[in-house]
Amino acid sequence: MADNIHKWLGDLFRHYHTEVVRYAARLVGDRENGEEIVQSAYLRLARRSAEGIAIEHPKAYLFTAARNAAVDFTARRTIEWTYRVDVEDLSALAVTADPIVAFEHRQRLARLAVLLNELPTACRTAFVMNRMEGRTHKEVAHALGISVSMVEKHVTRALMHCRDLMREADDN
Amino acid sequence: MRPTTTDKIPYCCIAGLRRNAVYINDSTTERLKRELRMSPKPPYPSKVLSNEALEWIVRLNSGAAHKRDRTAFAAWRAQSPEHEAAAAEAEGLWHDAENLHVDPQSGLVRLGGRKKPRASRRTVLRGLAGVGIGCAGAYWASGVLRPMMADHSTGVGQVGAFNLPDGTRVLLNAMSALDIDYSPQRRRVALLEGQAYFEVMRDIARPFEVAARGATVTALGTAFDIDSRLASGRVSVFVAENAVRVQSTFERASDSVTLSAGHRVLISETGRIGAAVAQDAAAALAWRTGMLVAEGETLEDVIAALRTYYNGWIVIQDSSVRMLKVNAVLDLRTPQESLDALAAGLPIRVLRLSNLVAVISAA
Repeated sequence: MADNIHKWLGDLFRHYHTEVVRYAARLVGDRENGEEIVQSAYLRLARRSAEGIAIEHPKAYLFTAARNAAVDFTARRTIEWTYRVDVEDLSALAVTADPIVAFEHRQRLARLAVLLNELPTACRTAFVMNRMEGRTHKEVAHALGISVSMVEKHVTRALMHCRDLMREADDN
Repeated sequence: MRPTTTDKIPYCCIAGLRRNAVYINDSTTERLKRELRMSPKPPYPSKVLSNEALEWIVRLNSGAAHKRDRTAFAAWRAQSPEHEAAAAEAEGLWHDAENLHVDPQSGLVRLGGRKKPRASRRTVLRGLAGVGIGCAGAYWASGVLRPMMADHSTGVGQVGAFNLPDGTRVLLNAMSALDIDYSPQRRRVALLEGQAYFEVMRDIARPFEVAARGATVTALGTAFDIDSRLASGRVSVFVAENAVRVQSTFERASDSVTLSAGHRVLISETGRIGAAVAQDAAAALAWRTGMLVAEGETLEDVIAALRTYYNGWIVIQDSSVRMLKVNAVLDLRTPQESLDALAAGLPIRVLRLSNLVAVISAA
């Protein structure tokens, strides 16, 4: 069985490694860590397979596993911050003393960050400028050289994407 | 019976990982996720209503919204509990983004509220880069790829020594698993994975049988070695003392050979028994002292042996190098150095993508 895992993981690796590393690096917003996220994704795949769970679409599964690994990586990195960086920055994250609620909150924020990074650049940029930088649709449209209705579409699309995949993650 | 060794392996025990990382291990994450799943969640509002709610949120935050828009939204969400749930979900998403910021260098979204970048943070992050993988690698070290229900099993780089109920001595090589099935009539064990050396206690009334992939090996009183890690599902049997009977699981009972001391035989995945070849016992059993002696072995078989000592994953990328003949003496306890030694002596290149992945290709 181990041989089979080696073989099909090897095939996945040969065909998609570069692509999935680039994807993972984008998701965590940090070029240095893509490789490590993807390895964690491979190990998830191997574990699943070792548990006898059939994986029908290995490529799709690999990318989903990479996304989940990116979420956990992001959430975990945040916990590290609480130990090492000034806490003031994270007061918003520590909404409660209940570890489960805090965990869920952090996991949700990490997923949101990952999902936004997954968006096409134009769409993400519009959302970031509007939501995070507090600019109006008109200002964003002007800065990006697109129409106001296009900005509206981008921002809505970003939210719908996040909503869909947040729901999906909750269901799993 | 539960495996005796896997549970005891400390979670993050991989040498060579980046220093000083504090590990929040995946088992904590998984436990919390399980607990979360236990709490029931109300059904989501329909996509149609949810989309409308999101459009409201976008409009209200466009910078061009009037007071009457807010009033209209309040009226919209008051229509039904489902409207209210859709509005709350949309507001929640919008609100959560408050706790994110954009990394000015990459333009990508990161966790944590907006604040001025500080030099200290980058330095801190650098030291933390290994966190994710530390936990991932631990899965490997804990040997999840082996059958978890085996009676005896070993992890990466571990060798296990123990006695069976009848006093038969077993030495289990790294990443191996053995199941015991003794009855008053016969002593049966199954080598589920890996390699094992047996010094069988003599008992004529109860034959000692080992099943491994396509082969069954029967002994009365003898010492022999079985290796089931070879490429393409082959099994190797080497006899150190006396003789054993090697039988194919796939063919008729009469199709068996008797193998005498100092000889080795290979059984293919389909149970075909090859010709017996004389081999030096010191070489065949060198793994018991942590060495691998390859005399004309193929590279893929040598790598298969090395893998069980390697905390990570070795991939042979070019099939052209798989069948390269290897003559080498390698130290199994230092697999990284052994890989380097192979690269120095063969027309291959070893590319390390990280501590966990090594890729072998043609030079």
